[in-house]
Amino acid sequence: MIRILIVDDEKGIPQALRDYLEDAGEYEVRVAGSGEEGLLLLPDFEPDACIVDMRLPGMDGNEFILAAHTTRPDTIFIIHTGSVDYVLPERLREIGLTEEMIMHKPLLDMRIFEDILTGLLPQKGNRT
Amino acid sequence: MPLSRENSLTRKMAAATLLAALVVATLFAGIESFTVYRSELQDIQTDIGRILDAQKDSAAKAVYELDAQLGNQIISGLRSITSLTSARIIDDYGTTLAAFTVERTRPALGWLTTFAGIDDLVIRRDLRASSQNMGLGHIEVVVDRIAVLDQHLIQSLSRASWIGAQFFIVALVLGWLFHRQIVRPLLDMVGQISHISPGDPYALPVAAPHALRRTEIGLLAKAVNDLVRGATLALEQSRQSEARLLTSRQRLARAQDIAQMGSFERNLITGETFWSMGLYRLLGHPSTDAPSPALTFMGFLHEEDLAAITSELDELIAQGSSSLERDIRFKRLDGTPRHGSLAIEIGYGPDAQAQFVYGTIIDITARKSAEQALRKSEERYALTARGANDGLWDWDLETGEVYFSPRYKEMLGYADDELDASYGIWAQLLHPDDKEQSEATANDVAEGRADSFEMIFRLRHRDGSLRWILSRGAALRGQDGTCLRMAGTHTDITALKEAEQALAQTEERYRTIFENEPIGIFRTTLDGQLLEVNPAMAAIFGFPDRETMIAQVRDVGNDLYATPLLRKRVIDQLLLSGRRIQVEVEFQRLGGERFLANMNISMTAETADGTVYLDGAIEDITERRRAETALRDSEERFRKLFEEMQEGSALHRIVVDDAGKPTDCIYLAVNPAFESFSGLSAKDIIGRRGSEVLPGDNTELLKICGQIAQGAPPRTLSTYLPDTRQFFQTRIYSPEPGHFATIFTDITQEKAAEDRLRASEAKYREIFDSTSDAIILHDMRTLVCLDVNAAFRELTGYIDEEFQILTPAALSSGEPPYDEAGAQAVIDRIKAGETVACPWPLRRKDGSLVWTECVIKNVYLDGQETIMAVFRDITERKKLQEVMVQTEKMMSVGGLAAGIAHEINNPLGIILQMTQNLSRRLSRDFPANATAARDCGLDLDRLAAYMERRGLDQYIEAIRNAGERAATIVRSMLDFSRKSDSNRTLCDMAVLLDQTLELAARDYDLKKRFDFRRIVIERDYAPDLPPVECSETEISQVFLNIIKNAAQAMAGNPTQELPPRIQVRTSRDNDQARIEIINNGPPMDEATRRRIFEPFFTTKPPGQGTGLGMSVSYFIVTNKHGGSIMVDSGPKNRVRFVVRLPLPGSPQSRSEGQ
Repeated sequence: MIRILIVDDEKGIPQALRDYLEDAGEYEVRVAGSGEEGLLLLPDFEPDACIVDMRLPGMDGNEFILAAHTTRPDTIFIIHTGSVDYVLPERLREIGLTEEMIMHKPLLDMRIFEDILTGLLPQKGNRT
Repeated sequence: MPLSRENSLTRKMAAATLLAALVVATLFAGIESFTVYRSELQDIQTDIGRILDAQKDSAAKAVYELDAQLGNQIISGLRSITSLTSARIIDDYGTTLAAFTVERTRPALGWLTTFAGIDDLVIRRDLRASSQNMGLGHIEVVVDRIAVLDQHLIQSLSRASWIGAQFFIVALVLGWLFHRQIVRPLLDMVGQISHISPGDPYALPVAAPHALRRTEIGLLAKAVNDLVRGATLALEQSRQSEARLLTSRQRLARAQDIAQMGSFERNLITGETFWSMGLYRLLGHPSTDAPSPALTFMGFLHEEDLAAITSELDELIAQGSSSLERDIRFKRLDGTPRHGSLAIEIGYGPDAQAQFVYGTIIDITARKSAEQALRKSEERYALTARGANDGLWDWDLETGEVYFSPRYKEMLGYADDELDASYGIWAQLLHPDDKEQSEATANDVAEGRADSFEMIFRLRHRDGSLRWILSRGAALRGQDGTCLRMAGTHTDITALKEAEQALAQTEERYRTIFENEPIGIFRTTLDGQLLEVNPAMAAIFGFPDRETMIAQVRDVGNDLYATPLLRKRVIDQLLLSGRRIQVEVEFQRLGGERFLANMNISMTAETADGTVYLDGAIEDITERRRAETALRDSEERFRKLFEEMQEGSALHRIVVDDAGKPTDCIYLAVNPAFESFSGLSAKDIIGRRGSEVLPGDNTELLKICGQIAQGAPPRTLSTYLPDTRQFFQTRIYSPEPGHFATIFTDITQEKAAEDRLRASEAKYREIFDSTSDAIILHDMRTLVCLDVNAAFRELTGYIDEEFQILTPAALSSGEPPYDEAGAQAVIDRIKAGETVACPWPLRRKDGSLVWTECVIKNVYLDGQETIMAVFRDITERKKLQEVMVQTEKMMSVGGLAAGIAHEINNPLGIILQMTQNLSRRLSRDFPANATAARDCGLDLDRLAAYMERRGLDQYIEAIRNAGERAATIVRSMLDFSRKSDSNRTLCDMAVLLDQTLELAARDYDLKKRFDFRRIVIERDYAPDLPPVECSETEISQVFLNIIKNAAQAMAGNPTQELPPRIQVRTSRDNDQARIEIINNGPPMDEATRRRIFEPFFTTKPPGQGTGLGMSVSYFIVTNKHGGSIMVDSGPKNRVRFVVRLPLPGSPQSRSEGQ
């Protein structure tokens, strides 16, 4: 199973995403309503990938990614934002994030997540 | 007697022969001696030459190489020649290298040295090295000529003596023979002749000399003796008759001389003519001449007289008369006319044939002259009496009768019969002032106190004027001394008196001149005493007045001349020239100051006492000299100026015809600059005519120059020489009448600058006129309008020069604060240096007002304070503001969108993602669904059937579509706010358009609603259009929007006849790229056209398009790229979008790039 952590404060979004991914079968999804909550989940859950909203209560998505990366450097981060003017900060670029990992809300088709995750985590797929 | 004569002759002959022998001998001796002497000298020279030649090789050395040995060799060679006195070798410096001298005692003939001037002969030979003259020394040889002469004299004398002796002997022999054979017989013969001469010529010789018998010469002598005897007889007779004839002739000649008479005779038959000596003398011919053939018979006579005489002679001969006498005129040989008296006698032969003409002529010129003189004298007297100026009067004191001659009366203007002659009349006519004196004088004579008188008085002329009369008179006294008569003359001396007065005036005038003349005038004596000076002279010499000067100057030479010697020189010069001279002399003033003066001085000898005076005039020329120097300096300066000036200059003299019309000119002077300008050399043109130097038609120019030379004012002409592309400015003026000078200035540079200035002016004028702001210029001081630009005319409606009446007040609305006072307030502010910007309602020509934004400031134009007011029509700006509002609106839409996008996107995300999940979890094909359905006991197929029946599938689909649309709107709105991604590249518009067209063809929506492949695409790309710097995606989006619109518009009108067509064109429009996209769809109505770029404006049915496509395009083109976009719609089913994008380097491009 691939463990996915979704950090988003808008409940409907992670729910729809979790349902979609869980329906797909090979994914174990947990949801955190804020960055801080997500960080708390990290040690136990040990996600392979995080899908992070930017505008969050408390720490924003960027800070979360940096913090999470510190504790779990192997984790893949996918940004899922409603902002249209989001620019990938240099610090995130340094830890390996690219424009391809930025998803703009609203997503018309969630299959794109599957594609990205499959592409980024081949070995994880084989782990089961 | 014959014997003694014989002896004497022989002796003389002997002596002569001896003497001749001696002379010949001496001559021979001399010649011999001289010849020997010459040849000896020749020999000596040859010897010297030979010796020197012998030493040639040795001597062919430079002198400094001559050693003593060589020198001595040469010398010893020379020593062998006798007669050499000395020889030496001398180098160039005169040093003797080798020498010898022979001391000789002077020979006996030493005295010849001094007597005949014979001296030593010095022979010099230059030392030569090969053929080259070393020039370093020479040999000098002295030959004692006397010695040579001495040596050969004895020899010569002895030879001469021998010759003389031989000659003497020969002479003696010859003399004896001569005496024996010739002289003696001849003497005998002469003895015979002498016997017969004095005696009877016919007597026979007494005795024949003894020698005659034997010799032939004796016979000859006898014959000669006979002959001589006969001849002597005849000669004697002839001599006697000749003597008689001579006597008679002399007598005749003397008589003729005395009578000044000449005679002649002519043989009419033979033509022989004889003239007497007297005649020759009379005619001035040399008396010894024989009758000259040149002198024809009476050729000396006056032509008329000759003719008369000839005819008279013919007549005489015809009548047989024999004598004629008449006066004649004739000419002497030297041409002097004379008068003569001619008497002719004709001699007839026995046959009454005229044979001879004899004649005498007597010179009667003296008599004739006297006669003529007398006649002339008589005539003169008559004339004098007739024309005498004196009037005569005669007063008989006894009878009281008075006579006035006609001339007397005429003198006073009366005719002879008009004036009664009386003492009373005279007294009446007498001038009252003269009356007493005149009557007293007359009485003195009348009463015996004087014998005669001479007085001057004035008589009144008939015309009233006064006549000065000189009256002389004398008394005729009786025995007792009483005066019987007085008579005398009156002479009108009025003219004389007047002349006297005039003379006095002249004298006065000269005196005035003398006194006032600025030139010093003086008179001195020859020895230097100053007699007279004029005040100017005193002033020149520093004396207070002339009297002081005359008194103080003792000696002119000492006191006035710089040195006394100067005066002596002047007088010498004056004496030499003997007349007036002009000299420049240095004088000294009273204080000793010296000065240069020009003096005219002449010498006058007063005849009365023989004193010689010097008269003269002095002009102090110190100042003049200074002025002359200054003038010369000035001329020099001006000449230099003329030479050095950069302007070409030439001086001409005008040539005029008889009517004074200029026909040509002559070059008098040109300066170097002229030469360089014209390329003509001064020496080629000076003195030549203008027509030669500048061929061609210069009539007009000559006319101008001629007028100027004749007094017209100077002129300046401009000339262009196309050959050299030079502009000249030519100044023509007249330095003196009849001349004109030209000064050429090369103004090519100035002209070019002027042209540039003009171009610049035109450029600024162009800018001034082409600027869209209305500009008006007023003079600050007078508020007179100076100029307006085209925009001002356009804005206000004033045309042409109407602006000149515009004052600031006239351009105001009249309502405060935009009235005259307001305008003045603005002017005051700008006077203070402020630039005023304010809104201003500008009054147009038609009275209407236009709101403007006005900037007024103070500018300097042409050094004049000028008010410049710039009006901008803010009506236009309001429109712009509207556009800006539009943009603002869009910007605010964008900003709003950005603000809410996040908030909207989340719900949209939920909607869309949930919808996606919903669809999937309802799907029968999804395995998880099957499991869940089984757990719930639900048959998925039935569910599907149910959903289909109830349309739930469509609901879900509708929700999804609506969500998607909302998402699109949000994204489009965000485009307004999104900053330019500054990811600009140079894009080839043609490539971009092609890509866009391809994109359009694949567009999902297009495919769905319109088959894009049916549309005809026509491309027309300009090959020279440079790439445009732009955001490729944005511009592509713009093109896509337009193309989509076009396709949709055409799709909405499928019934149209023509196949749908889109034309795509690019071109360059100045510094913009112009892209046209034209479709042949239905025309766009005006309302649509105006609103097409407004956000949310759409013609599409709801659900199709966001209403933002065109406004986003507008925003991209205008705001982000600084370009423009417009749409127009023509009548022929044509809708055209034109997009203009600035090309790189254009102002818009630059401003937008920042």
